[in-house]
Amino acid sequence: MDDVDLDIIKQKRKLEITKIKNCNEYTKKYGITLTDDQIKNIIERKVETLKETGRIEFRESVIDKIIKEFCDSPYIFQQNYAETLYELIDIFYEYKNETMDLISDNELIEFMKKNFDGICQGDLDYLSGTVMNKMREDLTRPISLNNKESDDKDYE
Amino acid sequence: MNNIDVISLIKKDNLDQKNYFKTLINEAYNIGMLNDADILDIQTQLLKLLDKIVYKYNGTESSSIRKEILEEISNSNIYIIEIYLKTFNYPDDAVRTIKDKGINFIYLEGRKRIEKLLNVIRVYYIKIKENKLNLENMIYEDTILGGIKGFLKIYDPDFDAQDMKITADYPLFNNNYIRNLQGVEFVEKYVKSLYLENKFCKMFSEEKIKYLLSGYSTRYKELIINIFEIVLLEIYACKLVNKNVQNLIITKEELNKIYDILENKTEQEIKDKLQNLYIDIKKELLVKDIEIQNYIETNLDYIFKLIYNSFKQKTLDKIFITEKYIIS
Repeated sequence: MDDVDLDIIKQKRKLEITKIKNCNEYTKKYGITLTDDQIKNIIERKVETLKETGRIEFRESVIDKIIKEFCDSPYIFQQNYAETLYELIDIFYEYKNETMDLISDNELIEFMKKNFDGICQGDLDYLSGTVMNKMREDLTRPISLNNKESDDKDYE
Repeated sequence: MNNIDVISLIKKDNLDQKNYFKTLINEAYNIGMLNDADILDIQTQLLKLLDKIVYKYNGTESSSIRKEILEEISNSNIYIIEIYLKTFNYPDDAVRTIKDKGINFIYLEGRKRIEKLLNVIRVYYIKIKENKLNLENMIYEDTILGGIKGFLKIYDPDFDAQDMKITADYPLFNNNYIRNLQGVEFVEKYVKSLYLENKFCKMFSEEKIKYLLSGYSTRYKELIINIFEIVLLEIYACKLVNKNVQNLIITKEELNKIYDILENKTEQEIKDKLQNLYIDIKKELLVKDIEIQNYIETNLDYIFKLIYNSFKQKTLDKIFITEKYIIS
């Protein structure tokens, strides 16, 4: 069993590295790229976050989706790019759990990006501590996420 | 050595009903029916199946899943596989099918079997509603009207097949025998048993049963009791004093007479007497109903022991109910 697991994990890891590297082609027009070490660190961070949040990733990784969504943000530049990705990955998985998987990956990423660029003005603490928390509360009420997204005042 | 011993190298008795697949594979490995490569192949197939079902659960919407949900789906897959493997009379054949046809085939066959069992449960649910006793016992009513219906409504054979989402608080005469079953297998046995118990009790007037239960406890409507067992024991009481079983109650004097009848008898003599009485009961009530006969007979020893122990402890009044007041 362990051998099978290891093979699958190695293959997945290889594919994930390639996909993130390929993202560099797309993101360099925004002046941001990741080094091999940074890619390695991001994947390790994701594995840790998955462990901490008690989640298991199946099939495609979500990292390239986050990269492609956030790369055009005015608040991300080469110096804070990798660090911001670490934080975004943490927030993503934390709120996958907090929202009890009611939101799809794409919806959650789009919501994070909209508020990161909007009300949060690039402040990750505000995004994770206030905006995401409010969104979670709204979901349990329940109020449509789309309605809330368009009303930034609710997250102030 | 019986036929099964000759035909199957793996003994069905060695397999744990709750861990059937695991114990089957272990036994097959121990006797050399499966080797290391086979085990690796089975594990790979299980992972592929898990991947397929998780994808079905998650769709394209989410790339990750909570660990506890993954475990539920994994347990559900194993349960579905076991449902089919248990249908083989000889475990060796089950192992050969795993090798020849693969895990996915077995999963699909298990899934088909679950659908069949669900249909059986639906049919029995309708039949139970028809032959239900109107005794106002809350647990009985709640189980029939709420529990079984609720199960049929929310049971999820795709992702949570092993779970027993049923409020089956009403205890059955054969509780000990079905306790080890899970999911849809448990519910199928439960509804069949309940149907048979109702059918048996329907041989008696509901008024007489109500009177009997009132004698058991004035709070019988709120108690968790098995009505079938109380009725069956009273039939024994009536038989012991040569009373028409349709009376379904004895007097205090008749209870004392039972003590006299059983006095100075050995355990075996009492058992023989009760066995003969059962033959009488069978002739009188169950000639045409083999299913009810089988149902009672699987637990007949329990009845014998209960009567014998109650006699020894001078507590027959707890199981043989006596008239408490006159029927108006």
